[in-house]
Amino acid sequence: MILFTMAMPDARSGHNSQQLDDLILRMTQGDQEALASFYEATKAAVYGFALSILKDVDNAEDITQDTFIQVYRNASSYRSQGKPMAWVMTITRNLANSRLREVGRNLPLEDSHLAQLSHNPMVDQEDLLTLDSLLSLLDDQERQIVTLHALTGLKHREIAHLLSLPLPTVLSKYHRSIKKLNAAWKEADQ
Amino acid sequence: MMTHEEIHQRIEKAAQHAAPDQLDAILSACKEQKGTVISMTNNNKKRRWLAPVSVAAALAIVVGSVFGISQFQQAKATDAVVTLDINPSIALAVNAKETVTTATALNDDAKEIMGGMELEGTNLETAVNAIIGACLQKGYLDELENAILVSVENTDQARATQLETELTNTISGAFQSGAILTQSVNVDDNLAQLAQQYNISAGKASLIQEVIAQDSTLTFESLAPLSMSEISLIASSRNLSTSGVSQTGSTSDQAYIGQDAALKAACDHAGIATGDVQGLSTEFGWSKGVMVYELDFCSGGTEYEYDINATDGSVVKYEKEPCDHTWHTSSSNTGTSTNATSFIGESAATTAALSHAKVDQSAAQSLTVKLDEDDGVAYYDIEFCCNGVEYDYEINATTGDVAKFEQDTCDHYAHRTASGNTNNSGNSGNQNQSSNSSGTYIGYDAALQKACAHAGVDASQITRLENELDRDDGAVRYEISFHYNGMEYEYEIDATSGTVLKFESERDD
Repeated sequence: MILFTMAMPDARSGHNSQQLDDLILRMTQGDQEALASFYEATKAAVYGFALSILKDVDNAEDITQDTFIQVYRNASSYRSQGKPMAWVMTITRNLANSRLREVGRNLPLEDSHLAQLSHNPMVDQEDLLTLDSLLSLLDDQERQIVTLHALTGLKHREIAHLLSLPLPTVLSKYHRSIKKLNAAWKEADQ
Repeated sequence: MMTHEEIHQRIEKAAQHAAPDQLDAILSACKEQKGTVISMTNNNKKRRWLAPVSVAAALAIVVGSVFGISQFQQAKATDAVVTLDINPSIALAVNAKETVTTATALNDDAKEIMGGMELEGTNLETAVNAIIGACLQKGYLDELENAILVSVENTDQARATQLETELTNTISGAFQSGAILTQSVNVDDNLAQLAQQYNISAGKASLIQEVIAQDSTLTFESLAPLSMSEISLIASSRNLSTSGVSQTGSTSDQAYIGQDAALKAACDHAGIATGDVQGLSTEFGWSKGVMVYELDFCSGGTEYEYDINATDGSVVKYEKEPCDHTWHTSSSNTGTSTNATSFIGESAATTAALSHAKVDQSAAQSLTVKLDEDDGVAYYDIEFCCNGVEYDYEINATTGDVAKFEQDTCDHYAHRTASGNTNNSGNSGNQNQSSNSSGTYIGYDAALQKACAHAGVDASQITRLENELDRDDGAVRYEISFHYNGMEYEYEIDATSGTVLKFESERDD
């Protein structure tokens, strides 16, 4: 039962903070199994958020890997406020933003930016459409806000803090994004 | 119409499927241990407390100096962490007897200063004196470059204040013409991350965050490498407040040519007389690796923006464009820009916003005006603060109508109020869980009733309701959004008192 909730975190209520906290604590003792469990529970959120910032599959994969290495190495600096996801997303954001600076502000957004995902047998047509809509229909902030909300269960207020945006901006961009995605997907589903 | 939930699930499915499997690579990378300890002494006795801590915990100290400091503070022996930022950034962990237990160089300048010093085991006053002395000797501090930021990390506010006072006295004794800025800081994960990333103290990171929150043209990465003198001049020239920071002595701007000389340099370059300049604003800034005066002025229907090297008066950057300030163009309207003439202008838009808010222009702080476009309609986006309230307006650029407005508590400094609340259940998602809510809160239904009553709408007629109980910064509130009669409403209701903390409404497009 516990494994099930770990593997399939409920997007609305967020990841189980207590379980993630426990895993981080175990990592401070060098427990690599805890790292593996933590990775399985949170990799989609980390990867999704990295992709939403970088808009590039290769770079998002790199940053995902780097995030988990940092989580492990800095586990003992984590001070539990019951918000492990906010902590992990902060690490992802900082790493992704540094990568953006390294490669130049704008990674070329080519038509083929998701092409390599189509070779991944896990990824179906609907997934490709979903990711393509996020990347092409939404602006950077909108995409990051929706992704964080969908994948981490962070509250709007926490997302505002993480992205250094005013709360009203986060709320209105979130609602605007949902409208855009709704319109696009309704059309595609017909 | 998909629900939010369905959209979330769809995004989550895509991310789950697309996320790569890198576990093996991550595990093998985590087996390697890398990093360098910057420690002023190899006296193992003094670091005996490290022994019971696990290898991984020790590794974290090794890898991240700032994280390390936070760790030090949790150690039994450490009473407080004091950081000094000049341009060298140095952290000193001290015990209750004010003996330095650990001294850490946070950046390369600090390593230069601290090379050969044995600070651990010395008294805090002696250590600070030695550091200031070395900074004076090596030219990091002088009469022209005189600002020092002292930050104290201690959970006991009274103790922190006492240390701030002692350190101010120590430093002003060692360097009489110094400008000493002191603050106490609470370091959260975000701050620790930022500090580590930019090789500065958490105190400097906190100060920069506060400054950039008030001025969107400044960025963290541009300010982080600057000396405290440079940051202090940039912030004060823009009237950016740094609440919680006390200052003794003033930051010297004597290294620079002065505003008048900068204006003359810009006017000489533009080929206009300084007397013809209208609406001049001058601020310190950082451009292309040097301190600059940023000048913005109009003359003869043209708006000029200059960055003048603050040290030698050379032109670093300039731009000019037709002036769209109505109060500058009225006398000599060029009429070439059809766009500009069809808009009411920043001045009229500002007046519209201020009069709607019933705020006098002279009382408006941090006023910013930006021309923006939303769904093909041009708006002036106007923000200002007054008496602790932050106002945000969208004024239709053609008609001058108030398209949207919003009030919020002015919380530029909110990130400093430490969250003592660790009770995040993380599972208070929607109204169906109202039975879960604690008896001390008014409940989702009552909160919704408060919002509807405030909005003057019938609760049975609203659609697309979202109602979240949010615990953050120690405050608990219901965040409610709904649609009614073509409008979207957003409310924050205090969970205990039912007071409307914030509301916003806009046309549902």
